[in-house]
Amino acid sequence: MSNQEEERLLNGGDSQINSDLQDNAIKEEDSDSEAVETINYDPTLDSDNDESEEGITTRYSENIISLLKPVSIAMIIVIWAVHTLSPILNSSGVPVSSAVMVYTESESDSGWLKLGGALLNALIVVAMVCVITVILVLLFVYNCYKIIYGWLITSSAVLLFTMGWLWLEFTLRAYSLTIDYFSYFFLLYNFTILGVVSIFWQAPTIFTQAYLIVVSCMTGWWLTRLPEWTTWAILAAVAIYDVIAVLTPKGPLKLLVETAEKRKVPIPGLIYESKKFKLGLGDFVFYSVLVGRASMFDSVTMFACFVCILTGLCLTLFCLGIFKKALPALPISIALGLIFYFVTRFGVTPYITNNSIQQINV
Amino acid sequence: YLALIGNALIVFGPIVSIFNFYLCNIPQLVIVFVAAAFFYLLSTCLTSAFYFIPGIVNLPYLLVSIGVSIQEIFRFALFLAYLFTERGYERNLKVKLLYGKFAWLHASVAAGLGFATCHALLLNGNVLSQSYGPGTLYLPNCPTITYFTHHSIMTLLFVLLNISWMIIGFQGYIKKSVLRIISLLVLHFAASLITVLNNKKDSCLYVLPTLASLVVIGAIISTVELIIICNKDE
Repeated sequence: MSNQEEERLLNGGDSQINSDLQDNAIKEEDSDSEAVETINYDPTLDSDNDESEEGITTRYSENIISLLKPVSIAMIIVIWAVHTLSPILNSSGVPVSSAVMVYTESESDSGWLKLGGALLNALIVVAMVCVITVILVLLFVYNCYKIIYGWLITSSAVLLFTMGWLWLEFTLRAYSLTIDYFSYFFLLYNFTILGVVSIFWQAPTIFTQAYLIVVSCMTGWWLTRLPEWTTWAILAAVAIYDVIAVLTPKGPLKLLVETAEKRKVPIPGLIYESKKFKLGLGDFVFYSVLVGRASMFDSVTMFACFVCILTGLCLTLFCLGIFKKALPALPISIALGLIFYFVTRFGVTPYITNNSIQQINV
Repeated sequence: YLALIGNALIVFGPIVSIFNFYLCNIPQLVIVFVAAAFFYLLSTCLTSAFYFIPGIVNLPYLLVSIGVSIQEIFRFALFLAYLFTERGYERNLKVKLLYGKFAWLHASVAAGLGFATCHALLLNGNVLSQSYGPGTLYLPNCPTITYFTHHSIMTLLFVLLNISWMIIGFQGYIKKSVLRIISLLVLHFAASLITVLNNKKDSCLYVLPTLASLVVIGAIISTVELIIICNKDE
């Protein structure tokens, strides 16, 4: 294969897109974090000298798996957190409400009211994400890097500290472990500082990647506390927004990418880099939210959504190799996840339950 | 805890071992594995639609036959998807998806494991989660082992069967061998229909041994396929 053909195969695009993810689910203080919701392929990271035909397909497959692994780990962690930490949080009496939700679901509400309220909540969340993305684009265009990084570092530190506090406390309670206050805060402080240093300065790659996964898991777990209908509506709305923001000519994320390309600088944001692919943290968060919410109903829906998200991600990565430009990573996975959640919930679960009772295997 | 761990190891031990020590060495196979799991999910979703036909619950043999037929259709669809992808790679990128004379064998094992894993997760995941906690459950048709262990052993046998069925299926489709396809259908129908007898008295005595025999038959046929591939000139 000629070098040109290899470059064509490997060059999946060199643009990245940021979008903002604002975590306002329940807490009184706002905790903003930046996240990229697209996927990008960076051929400059290719240092493999194996130019055989077999090496090319193996390398591309390795690159795909290098994204499947962290996504799977993040989803598994959120599933664990939903089943271990959420019951403790729920029993502590913290109300499930949000400063941005205009509608709070109630058991006695009709289906139409829940649907309308959920769509309204989703619209508000997407509008907020859009506004923050536009602000980020403006800051980037006008070279306000100090404001951008100050914003990112502050929000990440606050997230790591507050969520780390909750996670550590609830984990100790869940497994009946004890620790003294001094060690508790010593661990928490070091966890937070190490996280900020790993993500924004320098650290072994494994630390950076681990902390990015932890940040996405914490945010994803928190968002699973949103009411059910609102969660599904937000997932659908954000997936649609991702398509518009990344692919339309005047989309904020597309503008961000083009500006970064022109200046040949990396896009500021929380981006998971693995070999040649870069995936935004927002994708990790919403994948985890979908699977976490599915796991609250049943293990069948959870596994179905898990498979769908991995399949959607593989399809997106294949499309990346074909279209060779930055693509939104959410739509295919979220669409498959949502469809198969409802299909398995209302169709497959009764069938499988019947087979389990009858001990029938097909 | 111990019962849950033990039952989980029965089902997922072979899956994790094959995945970790075999699939992970060839990255393309992991993608085939994920795709196969998705195709199995699709087949289960379609089969479950028939479950809601009034009265069909009382005709388990019919429902199982429909399920097996749909699963075989999706097995063939998976093969076509793999073939289409491989030819796309060769035509457009001038590379192959997998190399060597064992390429199709690797792909079929990965696909079989994908089918098997999704089968295990969907059918046994729920049951496993119920096995955690105080107390257990015994059924009259198999009073010597718990329901959860019985279910896990059956799922393990189907995991092994799915891998051998995929090997036989892929070789049958590639070579357009009617004999292989018929043997695949016979094995699959036999294995699934025998499980309908699980709610009969003392079914343990004949259902599990029959399934184990089918696993051995499937393994023998798969080994024969491997020998044929080994002896084939590249």
